[in-house]
Amino acid sequence: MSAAAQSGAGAMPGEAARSGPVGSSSGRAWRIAAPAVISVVTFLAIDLLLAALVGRPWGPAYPLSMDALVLLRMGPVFFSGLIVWPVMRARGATRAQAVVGILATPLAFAIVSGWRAAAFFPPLEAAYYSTNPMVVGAIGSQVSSAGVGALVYALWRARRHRSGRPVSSGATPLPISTGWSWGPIVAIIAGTALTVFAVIWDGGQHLFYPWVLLYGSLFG
Amino acid sequence: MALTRRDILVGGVGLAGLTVSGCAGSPTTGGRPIPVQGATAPPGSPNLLVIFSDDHRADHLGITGEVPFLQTPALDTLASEGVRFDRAYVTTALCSPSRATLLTGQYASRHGVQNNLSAWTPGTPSFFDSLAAAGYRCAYIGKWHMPGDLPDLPGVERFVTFTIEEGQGVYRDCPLIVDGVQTPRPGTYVSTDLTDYALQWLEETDDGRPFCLVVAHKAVHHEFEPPDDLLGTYDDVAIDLPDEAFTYQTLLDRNVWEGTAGRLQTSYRRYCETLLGMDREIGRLLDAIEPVADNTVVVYTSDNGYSWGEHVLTGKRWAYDDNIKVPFIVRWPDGVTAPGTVSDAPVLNADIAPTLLDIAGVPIPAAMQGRSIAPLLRGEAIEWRDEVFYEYFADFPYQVPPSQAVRTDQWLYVEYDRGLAPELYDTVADPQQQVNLADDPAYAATRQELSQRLADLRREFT
Repeated sequence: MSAAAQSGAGAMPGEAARSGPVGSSSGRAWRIAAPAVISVVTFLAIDLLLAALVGRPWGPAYPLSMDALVLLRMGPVFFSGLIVWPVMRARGATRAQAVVGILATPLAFAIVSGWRAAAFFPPLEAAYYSTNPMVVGAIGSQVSSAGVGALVYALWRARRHRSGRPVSSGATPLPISTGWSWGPIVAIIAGTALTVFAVIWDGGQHLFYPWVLLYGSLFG
Repeated sequence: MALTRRDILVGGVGLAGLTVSGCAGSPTTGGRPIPVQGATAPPGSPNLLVIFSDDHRADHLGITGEVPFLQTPALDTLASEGVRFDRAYVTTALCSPSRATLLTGQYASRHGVQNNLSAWTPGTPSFFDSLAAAGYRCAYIGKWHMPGDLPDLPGVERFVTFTIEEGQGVYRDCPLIVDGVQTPRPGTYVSTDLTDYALQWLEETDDGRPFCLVVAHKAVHHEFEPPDDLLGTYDDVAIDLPDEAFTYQTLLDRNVWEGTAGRLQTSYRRYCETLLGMDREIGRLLDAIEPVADNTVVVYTSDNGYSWGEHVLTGKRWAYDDNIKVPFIVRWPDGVTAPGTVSDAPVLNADIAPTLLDIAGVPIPAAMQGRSIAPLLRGEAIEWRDEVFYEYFADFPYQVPPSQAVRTDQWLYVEYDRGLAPELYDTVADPQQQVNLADDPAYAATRQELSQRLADLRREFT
C-alpha cells in the first residue's frame, strides 16, 4: 500500500510515510532528500541535453525546442524550492536540511557554470565565476520560492485541519490552526529582494560590476 | 572655419542647458583636458571629425541593403560622398581595447588596454598629441570606457565623457564629466546630448585653427534604448534570425552577461531603433558642419561588430566576421577621387590614427602599427596588406577564450589559448563561417600555411 493511500485522500505525497512504519535510515534519508535530488538531476539532464543540441538546427522545431529547454533549465535552478521545501519538511527534514535541499540546485548550477568557465579561465578564476550574480539570483529565488511553498503548504494543512481531516504535525513550524507565520513572508520578501538586486534591477548590473571589479582586485 | 551660431541653430541644436567646465557639479580626479601649445597649422589644413559608435556591425547600414528595413540615411549619405570599406576590421572586438587602438594606432598587445579590465596608462601617446602640437584644436566628446581612473587627456581642449556604469554610460539622464567637472544631465538622451556638446564646442572655440573632434557615442551598445519617438519603429518588421539562433539563447551561459537577457528579437529591434536614433544625431552633426564640409574629413566607424544569433552568440569578442568587421566610411572632399565607391582593401581601426595624421600633414610616429589609408582614398595604386591580424585577450566573465586570428580575402583561421582546437573557415564558400575545416584533411596544407602566417603576424604585432 502506498504512503498516500495510508494517510487518506488528499495527503501531500510522502506525508504519511513519516508517521507510518519507519524503514531503514537510508530509506528515510532518501525520502527526505529525494525532492532536492530530483531537482538537481532534472537540471543536469536538461543542461546536458541543451548542451548536446544547441547550435545544431535540425528543422523548424529547433528554435522552439531550444527555447523550451532553456526555460525548463531555469525552472529547477530558480524555482524548485516551491516544491522541495514543503515536501522535504513534510517528510521530516529539519530546517537546515531543507535549506540545503533548496540550495542544492543553485549549487549544482554554480558548479556546472564554474566547470564550463574552466575551459576559458584558470581554475581559481573559474571557481570565482561560480559565485556569479545568476547563482546569487537563483539562491534568492529559491528562498522566496521556498517561502511561497511553505505558505501554500501551511494554508493547505490549515484548511484540512479546519475541515476535520487528518493532518500530520510534520516538521514545519507553521501552526496548523491558521496556517499563518511570518517566516515564509520574510523568506519571500528577502529572497525576492536578493533576486531583484542580483539579476533584475537594471539588468543586474549593480551586482555585476562590483563582482567583476572584485575579480579584478583578486586576480588582476 | 566659419561655423556661426546660426549654422548651429539651423542644424537643430538646442544649446540651452549645456554646461561647461566650472558651471556645475563638482570636480573629479581626472577627465580634464591638457591643452598643448602647438605650432601654427598651415593654412587650409583640413578639419578632422571622427564619429565612433559602439557595437555597430558592418552590415547594418541602409546602403548595404543587408537589412531591408533598416534606415541609416545620414551614414548612407556619408558613404555616397566618400569611400566605404567593406572589409574593415578591428584588431580586437571589444570596447576598451578598440578605443585605445583608435587613439594610438596600435594593437592591444602594444598599447596595453587588452580587455575591459586593463587600464589606459596615462601619458600613452595618442593622435591628439601630434595634432595639437601641429596647431589643431582638439576635443574628445563621448564614451571613453577604459578601465582605471579617468585620465586627464593631453592634446585636447575639451574632454566630455562619462564614468557611470563603469564607463558604459546610460542612455537617459547620463551624468557627464565636462572638462573634469561632474555635470548632471537630467532630461537628456545621451546621443543627442553628446552631439549638442560637440556642436557647442565647435562654435564656441572657433578661432581659425583647424579642428580635430572625436564624437564617441554610447549607441548602439546595450541596453539598446532608442529615443522616445523612435521606440517601436521596427516592432512590426519581420526579423530574420540565423538558423542556429533562438529567442532565449540570451539566457545561455555564453550570452548571459551581454545585457540582452530576454527575447532576442526584442533586443534586436531596440538595437536597430537605437541605431536609427544615432544616425539622426550624426545627420544633425553633419548638417551643422556643412559650411566647412569641403575642408573637413569625416571618418565613421565602430569599436566592434555584434552577433545577433550567429553561432548562437549574442555579443562580440569571437573572431567571426559579425564581430570583427565594422562599418568604415571616410568622406574627404579634397582627397577622395571617386566618391561613392566601395573599397575591398582590408583596413583596420589601427589605420585611423596614422590616416588622420597623414591627411593633416603631420609625421606618423613609428610606434603606430596601423597604416595611413590616405593613398587608398586618393585611388593610388600602392602595395597594401592582403591579410589582417586579430587578437583577443581573456575578459572575465565572458566565456570566450583568448585567441589570435588571421583574416585573408578567403580564409579565417583562429588559434585559441587554453588548448581549444583551432578553427578554419572558407569565407567565400561559407560566408557565415559555419563549417570548421580545421580538421578536414583536404585543408591540411591551407591550415599549415595560415598557421605559419599567423605566427609571422604574431611576431610582427605583439
